[in-house]
Amino acid sequence: MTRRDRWVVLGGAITLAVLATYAVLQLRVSTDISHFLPGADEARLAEISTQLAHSTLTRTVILSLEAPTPEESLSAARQLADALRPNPEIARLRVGPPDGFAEASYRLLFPHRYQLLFEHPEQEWPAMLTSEGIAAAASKLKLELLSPTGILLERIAGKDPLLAFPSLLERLEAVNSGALRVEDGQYLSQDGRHAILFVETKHSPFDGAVQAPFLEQVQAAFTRVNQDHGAALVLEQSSLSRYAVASEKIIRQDINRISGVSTLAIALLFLLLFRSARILVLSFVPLLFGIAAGIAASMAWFGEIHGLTLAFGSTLIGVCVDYPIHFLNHHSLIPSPDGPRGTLRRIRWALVLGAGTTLAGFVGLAGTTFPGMRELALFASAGIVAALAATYWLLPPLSAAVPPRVALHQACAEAAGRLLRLGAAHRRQLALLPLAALVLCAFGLPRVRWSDDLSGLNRIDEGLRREDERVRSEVSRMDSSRLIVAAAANDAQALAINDRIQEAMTEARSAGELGGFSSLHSLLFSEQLQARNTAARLANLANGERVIDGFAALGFRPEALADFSRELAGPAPGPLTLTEVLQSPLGDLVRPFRADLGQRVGLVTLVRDVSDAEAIRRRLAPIEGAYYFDQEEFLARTYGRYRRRTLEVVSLGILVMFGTVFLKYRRWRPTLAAGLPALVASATTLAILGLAGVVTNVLHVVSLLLVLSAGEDYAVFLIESASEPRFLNASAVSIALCCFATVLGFGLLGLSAMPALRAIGMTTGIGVLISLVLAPTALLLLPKVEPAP
Amino acid sequence: MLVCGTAVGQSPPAASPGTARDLLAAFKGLVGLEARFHEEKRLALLAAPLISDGRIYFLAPDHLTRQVTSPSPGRTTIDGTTVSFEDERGRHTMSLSDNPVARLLVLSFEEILAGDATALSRAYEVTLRAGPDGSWSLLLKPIVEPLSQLVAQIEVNGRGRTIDRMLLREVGGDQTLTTFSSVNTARHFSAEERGQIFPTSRP
Repeated sequence: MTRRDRWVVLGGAITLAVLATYAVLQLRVSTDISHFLPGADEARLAEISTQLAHSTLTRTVILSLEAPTPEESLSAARQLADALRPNPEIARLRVGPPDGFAEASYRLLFPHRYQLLFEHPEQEWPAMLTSEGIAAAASKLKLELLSPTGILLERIAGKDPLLAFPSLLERLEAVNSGALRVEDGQYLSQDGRHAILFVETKHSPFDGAVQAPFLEQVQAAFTRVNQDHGAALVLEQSSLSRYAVASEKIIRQDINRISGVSTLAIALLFLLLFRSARILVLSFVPLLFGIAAGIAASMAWFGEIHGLTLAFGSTLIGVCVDYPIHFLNHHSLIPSPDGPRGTLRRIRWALVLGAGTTLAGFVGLAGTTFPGMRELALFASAGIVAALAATYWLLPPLSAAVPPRVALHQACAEAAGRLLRLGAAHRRQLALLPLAALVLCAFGLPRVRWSDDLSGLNRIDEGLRREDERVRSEVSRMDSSRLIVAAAANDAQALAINDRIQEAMTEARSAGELGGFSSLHSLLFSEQLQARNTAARLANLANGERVIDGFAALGFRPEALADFSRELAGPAPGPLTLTEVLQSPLGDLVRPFRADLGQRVGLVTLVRDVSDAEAIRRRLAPIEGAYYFDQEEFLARTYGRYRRRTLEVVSLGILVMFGTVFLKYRRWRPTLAAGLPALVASATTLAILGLAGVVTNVLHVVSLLLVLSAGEDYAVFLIESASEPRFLNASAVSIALCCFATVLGFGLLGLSAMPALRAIGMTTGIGVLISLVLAPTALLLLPKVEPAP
Repeated sequence: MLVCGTAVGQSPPAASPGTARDLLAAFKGLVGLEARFHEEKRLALLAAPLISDGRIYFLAPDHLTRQVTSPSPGRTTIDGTTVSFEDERGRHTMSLSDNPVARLLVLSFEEILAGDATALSRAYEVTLRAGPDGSWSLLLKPIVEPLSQLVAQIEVNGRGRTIDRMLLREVGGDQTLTTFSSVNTARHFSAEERGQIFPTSRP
């Protein structure tokens, strides 16, 4: 090794150490699905979806604690709450309505009750204050006073004979309790068996690094409480973070398992052919560079890395290992008299061309508006460049000047070469291969079924899902994935939109388009509607004389209604604002209805039993800033766009690939020879998936990029060495080795429990095998290969 | 609001109970009850008392129905901690668990009939005044807020297991007197009657 070589190796080792240390220390894996949504500039819905993914609604973990008796459930819930409260990850923890809730409701709402009374104040205030209306109100008050709970009204009846405040409380009750009861100040399910705790976390549910230990701490706290109760408690949970953490765990486990087994298989193959531990170690150097650079680049640019990107990164094993395989294989079989550098110089154009065309495909992904796609593009591009660079600069100085000759290796090369030349000599028979592939395409491609359903990408644990549904059904009757959002620049504008949404949804409910809904509107109107109520009240009830006379006629003492009269004579209070409500003890009740949408504010209306989503959309269409949001439907639509965009990128990648190859050869025949087998292999892969009944999604399409790249690499190597039989032998065994290494890696990905990884594995596994089979057909477009010496 | 008066099918007069717990223990065996009631509410709000009449039904341990026949028909049903009101305007259900004051008030009568001394003593100071002829007066003085801010005292009078009248005095001076008659403390309800008189209001 020369002095220069030593410096190169030292520099490479330092670079790898720095990259690897940075990657390991900074690694933060996310499963946030918003990564795979289009960017905020593409659609407002995407913005809303992204922000909702981090809102109070999604950050809330619901804990349901079951014990043999309701009393024990409540006591255990108190204990669990006490144990969890000091946890720094908890932003808020609620076991029941805030202390003094009723008194706080009275203090906050009673002065504003007239402003919050009617949806259509111009009609409803005059109607209530006709002689008949006043008489009806007086009769109603009498009936209420007669009821067993009448004593509660006596306190306010003198000030509020029209019962404006009780009607407001009825609306509040609907928002407050939902499907829960309150027992001794704590939430209890209607069946009395489950005490409920609401735990709002500080971090996003998709932040696996924080959420995984937090969920473990919750479980540990429960275990301690359960011990105190003789192991008679059952804890069930509902939270997005559990799905996210479970997905991350599966992804990590699969990657560890797949990387381990594929690494072992590749190692055995290398040892068998090269009989050299040195070559085995060297073959992994570019791979390590590739992965470390991919992670480091993603962390540096995006601050975190998505689980799917990391999973896709494991596929780099297949791609990056191709470069050292080509070099080490050529150097072992036909070492250059100039040493390893000479061998590398001989194949450098094939390597650069292969990597360049692969990069072209990935760079296309960076042009999309999906952050996840861009992350994927960066990861793969950085990995490929780093692996190529490591192959180019580090492997020659680290390789033996004269590698050992292995008989088996030589025999394989000769056999592979013979097979190749046999095919080249019998062009008609060789042409049957692409012909068969095209027949498969004709039958298979029309059978390809696309699915953009999110569940096609992520495996949802059935046990978790059922538990989640059980807990949610105890807490709320509203759908968890459908909602309506009033989005505006500030709270006041959002409340105005919310008023209109309320009106539209009231009509929709009457028309049977949905079963029910829950909105902040039950508690708070916009400033405009409050002002309209005040104006209508002043116009119809400047003082209380008519009301007092009407009530007196039905037996009420006028002097007992003096407070009512006095209040009407005073100035009308200003509008009640959302900020005031949020800062009051009612804040916890209101907070889940409000979401920060970046520069905007969103007010959420929860819905249930939607039977006609289109009709609801039509009702909302004239309301600017109102959006009906069906998370599943939206994500399916988004993934559909994502898939179509990826197909466009793949098509563009094919053009770029042909262009890049043409720049090198300046002739059409070798250009077509390099690209067509890969193109046919990709189409055939898709056709086979269609014939096998596999429902294909966006990740199958992404994986086709790899198939294209690998297929094109194989063809380029054959073209580059076609003129020299010895080189052709080496290239033949080279691409076979590359293919086996890739198939080993990807074939195992196809066994993953995660459908996303399975999709990648199946597509690339099948694809590279077909690419290997079709690679010799590149020779059909080249001049006849000379017979073997 | 409360039960009883001239009893129907009642047991012969028993000796006066020694303590409130003795009295409530005697109620514990009550399986069902039916009585007529007459209620007068004297409120500062109203020039004349509010008067209502009707029937009351109790099915141990936690079903109570108050059927008003006058001045206008209506029915209040307590089923566990859920109370529902029905009248000419429709039906309205409310969870007592969301309203601790209403719960203490509404359930206190049911707790007397069920003989639940523990539940009563959580909200009231309970004292008994026994008469020489088997009559008794049970005094309930609220000890928890905000109930104590509303109610000054509840006085229940009776003889044996029969309640004759109940007087609720409010802090502000309003009061409600309920007298009971035709009390049947051995009322058994058929399945059909249970469905009609105690419709379930739990979700």
